[in-house]
Amino acid sequence: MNYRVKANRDIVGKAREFFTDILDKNLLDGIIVPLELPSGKSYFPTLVKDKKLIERANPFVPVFQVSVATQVSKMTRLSPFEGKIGVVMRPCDLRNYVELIKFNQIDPTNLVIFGVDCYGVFDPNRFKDMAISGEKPADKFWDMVEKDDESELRRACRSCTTPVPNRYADVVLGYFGSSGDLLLMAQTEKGEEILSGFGFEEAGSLDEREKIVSSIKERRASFWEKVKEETRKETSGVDNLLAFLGNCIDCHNCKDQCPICFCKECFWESPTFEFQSSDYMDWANKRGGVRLPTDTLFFHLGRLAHMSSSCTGCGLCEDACPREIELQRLFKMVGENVQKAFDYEPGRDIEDRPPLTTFKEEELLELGE
Amino acid sequence: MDKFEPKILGFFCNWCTSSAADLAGTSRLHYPPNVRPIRVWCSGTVDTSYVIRGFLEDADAVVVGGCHPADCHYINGNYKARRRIKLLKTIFETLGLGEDRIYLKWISASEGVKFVREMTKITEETRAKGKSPLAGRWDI
Ligand code: SF4
Ligand code: SF4
Repeated sequence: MNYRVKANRDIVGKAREFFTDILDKNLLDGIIVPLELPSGKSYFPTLVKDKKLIERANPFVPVFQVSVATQVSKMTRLSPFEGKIGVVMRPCDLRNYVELIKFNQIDPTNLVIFGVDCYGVFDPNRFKDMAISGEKPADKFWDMVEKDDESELRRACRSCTTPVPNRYADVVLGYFGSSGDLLLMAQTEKGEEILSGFGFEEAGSLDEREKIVSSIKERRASFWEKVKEETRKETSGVDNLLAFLGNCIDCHNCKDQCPICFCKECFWESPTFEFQSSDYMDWANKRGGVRLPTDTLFFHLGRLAHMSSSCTGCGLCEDACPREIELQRLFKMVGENVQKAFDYEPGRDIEDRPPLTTFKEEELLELGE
Repeated sequence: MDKFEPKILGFFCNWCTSSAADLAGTSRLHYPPNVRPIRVWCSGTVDTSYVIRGFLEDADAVVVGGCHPADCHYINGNYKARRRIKLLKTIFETLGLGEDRIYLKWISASEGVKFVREMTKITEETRAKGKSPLAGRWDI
């Protein structure tokens, strides 16, 4: 069932009331939601127990510091939560969440997922600069949504075609086409259980919402086609690819922040890569020299091989890169082709097996001979 | 200038393709010395990173050889290998790195003649293509 909470444009305020009531009524034992830090300059997902803290919550905040799916994975890998915990997630992270469940990295028992509409986010450094200079990015965001002006948002978001949560959200908190109200939409029984006791009014027609969402999707799909074509040109061939990745310092931040790169011990950090001085000399003798650190191209190609089949294009890799390498468009472009090759879409269906964990006997018959 | 001699790296499974190479040897059939064979237990043990490493270590082509479909000694390793090769070819194609230098061949233990034929063909094809764009780079 879909509900509408009259908000008079104070959508965040109504969402706070909703979460406060949930904690008040003990419907959940805790909620993971972005909270404004005491500095006032940043927001981070926080497991909230004390309802007073909800005053600082903003489920729609236009900054995406870390993957909540990754955090939930860390918290539930050893054992699931005993009480029910709400988790606020944006659409791309919800896809990350579905992928991590498939890889047995999250125990979803007792989790209630609150998916949020997402118009996009600012680059985290830009968000911080705006906050410091008093520009109030979290408020400014709503003007941008209203004017449908996305020009200042991350490129990853401007090329994202899933501004609304998939079916794995128990409850959707929506604002697209809501005329300034907060929409609360139950997509599962769990979600309905939470919402049914509140006596909210029914949402009525969602035609306006559907219209806005599909126009955003269309615009972003055609923007992505453009970005993809540029990316293809800029990264095609080893010279171009090395120029694109050229500033890589091999810090591995991209893989550390990537929700899909869940391995606790990364192959590229294993003793396989502890070489003797004589190995370096061998390379130098053969090739005339060896760039240091070496094997950065190997790292990126290897990461593409290991995870691009599940890349959701969330852009956390790029945000984490100290050298501002535009990894998201590279990984999304390759990921799309890989996913197409296996008729696979990350986040689409929790029952789908990731391409490298399964096979069919009758497939790819053009290979082998 | 000397004629270009490609380096071909082969990962051949123990039960089929490596045995075919042995059979070729005991039958006194010649195959090009360009091929550097590595015996692996199963084509399904060949991680994508082995193939990438091969190219970064100057291979001009990489061949994974396994048992024919339905004949894998470990039941389904060859099907997994096939998916990985598809994946790598897709990545290499997207990035213009020469996906046509990645080969997957099913060669059974009794197919010594096929082994020689395929290795000769791959060597000739690679010789015609020239050096791999990934080979010999100091800036990787
Ligand atoms: S590679 Fe980048 S865009 Fe893709 S899932 Fe990982 S962090 Fe997100
Ligand atoms: S975060 Fe950037 S610099 Fe660090 S390893 Fe990844 S691409 Fe290279």
